[in-house]
Formats: sequence, structure tokens, C-alpha cells
Amino acid sequence: MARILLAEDEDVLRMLVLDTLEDEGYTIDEATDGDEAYQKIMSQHYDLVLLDYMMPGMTGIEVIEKVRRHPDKQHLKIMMLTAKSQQSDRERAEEIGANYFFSKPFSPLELIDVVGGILSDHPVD
Amino acid sequence: MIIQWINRKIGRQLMASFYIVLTTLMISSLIVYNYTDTKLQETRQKLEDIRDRSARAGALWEEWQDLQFNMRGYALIGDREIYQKMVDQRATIDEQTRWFEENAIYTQGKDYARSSRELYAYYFESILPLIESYVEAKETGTVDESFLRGTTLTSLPLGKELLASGRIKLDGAGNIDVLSEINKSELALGGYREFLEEWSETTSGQLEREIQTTQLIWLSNIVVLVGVLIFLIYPFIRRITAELLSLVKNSERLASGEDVSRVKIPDRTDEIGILAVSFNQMASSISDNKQHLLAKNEELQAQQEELQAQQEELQAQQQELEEALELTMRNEQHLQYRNDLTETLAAREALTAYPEIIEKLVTITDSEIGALVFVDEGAAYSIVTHGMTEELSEQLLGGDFSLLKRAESLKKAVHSSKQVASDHPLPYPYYMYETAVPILDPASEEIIAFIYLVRYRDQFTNEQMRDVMSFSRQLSLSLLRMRLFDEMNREKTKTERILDSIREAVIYIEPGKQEVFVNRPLYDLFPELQHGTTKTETLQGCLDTIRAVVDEPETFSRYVEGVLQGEVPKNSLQFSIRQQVVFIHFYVEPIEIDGMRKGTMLVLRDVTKETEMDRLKSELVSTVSHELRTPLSSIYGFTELMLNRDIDLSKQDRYLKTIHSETERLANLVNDFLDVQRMESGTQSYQKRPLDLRPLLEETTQFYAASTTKHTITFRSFNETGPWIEADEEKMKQLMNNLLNNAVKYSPSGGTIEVVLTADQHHVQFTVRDEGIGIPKTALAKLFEKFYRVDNSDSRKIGGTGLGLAICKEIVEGHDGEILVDSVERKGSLFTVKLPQMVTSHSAVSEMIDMSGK
Repeated sequence: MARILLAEDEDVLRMLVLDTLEDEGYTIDEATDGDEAYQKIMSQHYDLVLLDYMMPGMTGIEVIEKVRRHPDKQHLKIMMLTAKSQQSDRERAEEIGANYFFSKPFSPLELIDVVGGILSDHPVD
Repeated sequence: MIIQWINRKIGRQLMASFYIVLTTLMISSLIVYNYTDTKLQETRQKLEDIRDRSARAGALWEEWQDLQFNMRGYALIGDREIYQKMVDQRATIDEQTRWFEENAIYTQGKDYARSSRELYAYYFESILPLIESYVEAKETGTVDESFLRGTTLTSLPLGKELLASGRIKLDGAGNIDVLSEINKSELALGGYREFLEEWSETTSGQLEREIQTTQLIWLSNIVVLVGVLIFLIYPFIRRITAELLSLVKNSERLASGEDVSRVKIPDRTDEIGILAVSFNQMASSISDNKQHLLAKNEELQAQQEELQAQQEELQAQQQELEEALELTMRNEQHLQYRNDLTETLAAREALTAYPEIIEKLVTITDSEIGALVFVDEGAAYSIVTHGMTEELSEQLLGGDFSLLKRAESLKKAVHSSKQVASDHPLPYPYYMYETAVPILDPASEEIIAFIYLVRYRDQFTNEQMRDVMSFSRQLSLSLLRMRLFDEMNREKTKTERILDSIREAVIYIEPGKQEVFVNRPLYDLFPELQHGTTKTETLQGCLDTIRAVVDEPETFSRYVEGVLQGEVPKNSLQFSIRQQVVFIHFYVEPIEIDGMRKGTMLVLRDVTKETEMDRLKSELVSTVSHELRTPLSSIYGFTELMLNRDIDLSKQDRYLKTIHSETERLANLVNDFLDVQRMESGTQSYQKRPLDLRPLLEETTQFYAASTTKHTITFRSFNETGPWIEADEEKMKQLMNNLLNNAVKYSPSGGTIEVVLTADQHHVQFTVRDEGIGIPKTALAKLFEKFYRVDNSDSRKIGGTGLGLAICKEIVEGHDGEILVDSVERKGSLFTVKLPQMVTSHSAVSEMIDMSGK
């Protein structure tokens, strides 16, 4: 089954996403801030990374920027979970290398669909 | 030759005499010294010789004594060694005796030599062989005795033989008389020594005498020479002095005017001789000149008398000329004044020139005092005076001054004369002549001013009056112009004040003009321009100064360049100056009059506040949306999960609790916004009641301490009960919650949080200290502004609305207190709240305790 990294500093939101996706059978790894997320991405393989925008340590954008500098992380799928739905933030994130965006507040069922769609379009290796 | 050379100078003569005497003195001294020295040497040698002789005589005598002693020893012991010694002594004695025989000079010396020689013969030819034979007899045993006796010797064969030949003699006791021979020799020695001593004394005495004599001769030599010197030089000096004195006397006579035709010239070639000759020449030349001068003098006196006559004539002429000149100058002065006055009246700056105008009028008309009385709006008067008393000027202003009234009704010049009492202003009775000339507006024939002039003694002449009249016409024109100018100036000032009072900075430019008009706000915006009130500046200077502080000078220049070329840009320009400290909205307004473009107004509006507000607002929107979305997300998500899935009970419970707490969070957020809204609208009201602060702080602290594991949260108070304050309990809780919440939130790595409560007589103070990320120095000033959030990476990551501290400040100030912050970045922050302590009497306190008990 696919491995997903969830980087989110708000405990309740982390719990929500974790509960939602674990029930779907995904293996979920957690990170509570940007630095932890970066270290986990660099040391392990994930099929998808869910990244909050505002986090202590590095922000989500900073994490993507750093991760994309590594040649073997060019194709890692990254989805931003963000309350900041403003267009300018989105453009900036896209430019830097975020693949998908998911806006807060969100519906857990929709999240299951979106994650499932992303992962099934691209078979797990 | 040399004598002539010496005679030419007195100094040389003196020196020559001096040298001769000195040389003589030196030569005689040398001779005396040489003689004395030779004598001394000779005597010293002689004494040396005598001493030597005496020593030699003594030595010889000692040798004899020694020999006698040895001889006795030999006779007794018969030792060959002693014998040998005696043989050696014999040679010595022989040699010494011979020295005396050869070198003795006087009889005594020769006697001594002879006696020594006799003794020598006696001892070595008779006694020594006798002793030898005695020793021999002792050795052979012929004689045996321990002591030598003279008789034994004579009994020896040799003794007998010698006795027979008479070479030895016997004394009365039958012994050989050795002693007498020795004594003879000693006597000779004694005599000789005595003689030597005497000789030595004689020699020394002689030397002393000779030296004394020589010194005496030398001294007398000096005395003689000094005498000679005096004898030679005194007459020499006397002669010179006498000749000089005669010259001095003659000079004195010459000076006192006597005729000194001739002085006896001494037969000298030296200075005195020359002086005498020169003196003679001088005296004769003076006497010649004197006669010549006398003649000249008479001539001059005659000439002088003639000149005096001429001079008197000239003086008379000059006086005449001066009088004429003065008259001309007076006329000229008068003309000059008239000219000045005309110029002043024509000048643009005539506004300030009224005193000058009346002063000139007074001068030209030869008046004493004068005034310009203006008829202002509403028939009120104003006045400019010259030389006038306050009293008189007030009378003129009074409105019922008869002369002015007359002039006003007649509309032409009027005169009056009156006698004035002696006391004022001249000390005797005098007449005072007044004139008042009305100045008419040429258009309306209305009186706009009066010229009022006063003079004493004489009436005004016709000519003077003509002057005044002509000036009055000029004045009327000038006054009208001045009024116009005044009005314009007032209008201008009004416009300037209006421009200064608006908020926008303005630069007004006119095409082709380098000078621009700017208003006060421009100086406020750009203090570099340095003036401060409305003024004109050069366009270039203005633009350069502004450009120097603009953050993006290129954009600014491009915009201004277009405007200067006549464009009127549709869009305004927004730019910042001084590194974004001030934001400026810049636009252009063309100024048109009657459809004609007159100039362009550059308007600069300080929009820093607005810009800041915009920034804060957009920040608020994004912050609020973020803050709202998190709790909304969880509520939305968990309810959806619960609605769509079968969830076990424990999870359900957890979800519900989460939903509840997030809802609470939402509610708090909304409350914060409402508080801020109330703060802004000023409708916040406080339910103030006596409140014991201590339990409130303690409880809140305990609550937070229980909710965190990372932090250690403590409470300390220095009071057992109280302090009491008058406060809204809910608001105090909110204040405490906000401060503690911040302390926890901004210490992400934990640490100690300390709440301390203290109180003095009038104030209650509590502090909240954390060890968190702290606040940058630059942010401290704005910290309590609403929506303000510290803008750095640390704080960005920690969410917040920027309302908490603004609410805290509002609450504290609503309770007449103050809130302060102190912080060091990365070390922590300290928030201090000071509130006034409740004014309490004893009974009031117990009442409060009662109330809290309820």
C-alpha cells in the first residue's frame, strides 16, 4: 500500500487527516513541523507528501524549495494543504514545485477521493 | 718714518710710551731673576759639598773605632777571620784618608787627613804586627794569659824592638799608649766637623744677604721706571687736554655767536692737529654764511609783507565764493530731497516708506513737524508722524480737529496760525503756522488722506505750498497703488495660509520659470529644504532634494520629466521615500485661467498612514482567514467523518471533544473581534467591582500550568491577602489569559514562565516573564497596536490575530493602569501591568472581605 507523509502542526487537523486516510488503508507517517518533514522526505520513500503551508521551522514552501533541489526528488508528488487559498500563494507554490493543492476547510471524503485519484493514476512501484 | 707714523695718532703715541716702559721693566726683571738664580745654584752646590765632607769624615772615624774593636778581639781570640776583616778595613781607611789628603781645601781638612795618616802608620806598621806576634806567642804557648796586658806586649821580641826604635811608647803603668794616638785623631775630627758647620752657616748667611740686596735693587728699579712713566706721560696728557680745552672754549664761543676767526694751530699731525684745522675752516665758513643769511633775511621780510597783503585779498574772495557755494548746495539738497521723495513715491515698496515720505516732506518745506493722516474704510483715521508728540497725533486722530475738518469740507489746502504759550515747545511765545492739504482720489474726488505740516516763526511760502500740492497729487496716485498692493498682498497671504494649511504638499510650476512656489507641508515632508514656511524655491533644487530621498529615483524622474514637458499624466504615482518610511501619492493638476493653461501644480500627499492601514487590513484578512479555517476545518472534517462512517465509541468521544474545543476556540476568536470592534467604537464598558487580584492570578496560573508539560509555570505573591483593585473580573481574567497564552505560545521550546504579584501603597503590579523567542527592539513600540504582528520567521510560524495585546492594553487603560513590555530577542519577554490600588479605609476592607465571602 502507498506510503504518505503528513506534515501538519495543528494537532487536531493532523488527527483528522490521519484518521481519514488510515481507515482507507494507507500507511501514514507524521511530521509536526517543516524541519521534521524535510528530514523524513530526504531519508525515506513516500508516494505522496501532504504539506501544510504555515508551520513552525521551515514553511511548506521552503520545504518544497529545498526538496526540489535534489535530483532524485524531482518526481515526488507533493500536495499542499493550505488555508491560504489566495491565488498569489498558489502560483508561488506551483512555480516552486507543488503538484496539487487542497484547501482548508476540506471535506474528508473529498480528500479520500483526491488522494486516491492521485495515487491510482500513477501506479505504485 | 716710524716716529712720524706714531705722531699721527694720539693712541699710538700713548701705546709707544707704554711699550717702552714695559720693555725696560721686563728686561731689568729678567736680569735680576737670572743673577739671583745663579747665586742660589752656587750656594746650594757648596752646601752639598760641605755636607758630603762631613759625612765622609764621620765614616772614616767610625771605621777607626771599628778597627780598634776588631784588634782587641783578635788579640783575645786569635781568629783569622777577624784578621782578614782588619786587612779589608786597612784598604778602606787608606782610600778614605787619601781622599781627604787630595781634596782638603782648608787647614782643618788637611789636619784631619794628616792625623788619620799618622794613625794609619802607627796602627798598621807597629801595633798590628805586635798583636800578630802576641797571637803567635799565645799559640806557641809562650804567653798564657786570659787578658791582654800592655806589659806582656812589650816583653815580646817585636815589642822590645819597636820600643827600642821609639815607634811605640809606654805610659806610666808600663802599657802601650794606644789611646793617645786615637784621641789625637778624634780631636782632629772634632775640629774639622766644627769647621764644616761654621762654613755651612757662613755660606747660607751670605746667600741670604745677596738675595736681599738683589731684591732691593729690583724694587728700586721698578720705582724708578714708574717715576719715568709718570714723568713722561703726564705732560703728554696735559698738553693734549690743554689743546682740546682750547678747542672746546672756541666752540662754545662760536655757538654763542662770537666771531672766532682763528685758533692757534698746534704743531701736530695727530687728530688734535686735524681737529684744530677743521675747526678753523668751519668757523670761517660759518662766519661767511652768517653774513650771507643776514642779507637774505632782509630780502625775505620784504617779500613776506607783500604776500600778506595778497592773502588778505584772496581770503575776501574765498569767503564770497563759499557763500555762493553754500547757497548752491542748499538748492541742490532741496532738489535731492524732492527727487528722493518722487522716487520713493514711485517705488513699489512704498508701503513701508510712509515715515520716510513724511520726513522728506517736512525737510523740503522747512517744517518742524508733520503727519500723514489716512482716511481708512469707514471714515476711520490712521496716522504716520514725524517729530510729533503723542498728544498732538491723538488730537489729529480724534476726528474733530478743526483744520482737518475745514480741509475736508473745502477739499483744498487750508492754513491757520496761532500764538502759543511760552512753555511748549519753545521757551518763549511764538507763532505756530499749520497747514492741512487733502489728498483726493482722482477718480472719485474723495479724500483719501491729509498732509499736515507745522512750522514756527514764518508762514509757508508760495513756493513751498506749490511743492506740497504737487506732492499731494503724486501721493494720491502712490497711495492708491499702495492700497491695491496691500490688498493684493493680503490676498496672497490668504492664499499662502490656505495652501499651508492643507495636508498635501504642493509645488506650483509655471512654464519657462525656474522659480517655483511651494507650501509648508512640502518642508514638513522634506526637511532637507530647510525653510519652513511658504516661499519660492528653484525647481531644480526642489526636485534634486526630493530625488535624493526617493527609494526609486528613476521612476520618479521619468514621471516628473513628462510633466515638465507639458504632459498631464492621467495616472498618479505612488512612491516611497527614506527606505519606505514615508509613502507618497503624487499627482499633477493643471491650473487654467479663462481656459488658458497658466501653470502646473505637483501635489504630493503623504499616504503613509493609509498605506500602513491597507497593509494591516490585508494582513488581517489573511490571518483571520487562517485562524478561522483551522477550527472550521476540524469541525467540518470530524462531523463529516462521524456522519459518514461507523466510528467506535472511544473515537466518537474524542471527536466530539475536539469539535467542542475547536468551537470554543472559534467563539473566543469571534469574541476577540467583537472586543476590538467595541474598542474601536468606544462602547466597551466595564463592570467594576472590588476585586482581590491574588486568587484570580493564582487560579489562572494553575490552569495554564496544568495544560502544558513543556513549561514550568509559577506564581509568587508578596502579599498574604489582596491587593484589592476595582476592576471587571471577566476582563481581568481575559487580560491574564491573553498574557499567559502568549507566554506559552511564544516559548515553543518550553522554559519557565513566572507570574509575580507585588503592591505598594498606591499601585498593584504583576509581571509575566517567559523565556521564549522574545521581541525585536524595533517591534516593541508597535507591539500593542491592533493587528500588529511581529514580522519575522519565528513569529510567522506561530499563528495569531494580532489582537491579544491590543485588547490587553485596552483593558489595562480602561482600568487607569498601564502595560509595559521589555524583551531581549531569543532570551524572553517581560510584560508588566500596573493598576491603581483601591483607596481603602479599614471598614471598606472588611466590607470587601464580606462581599467576597458572599
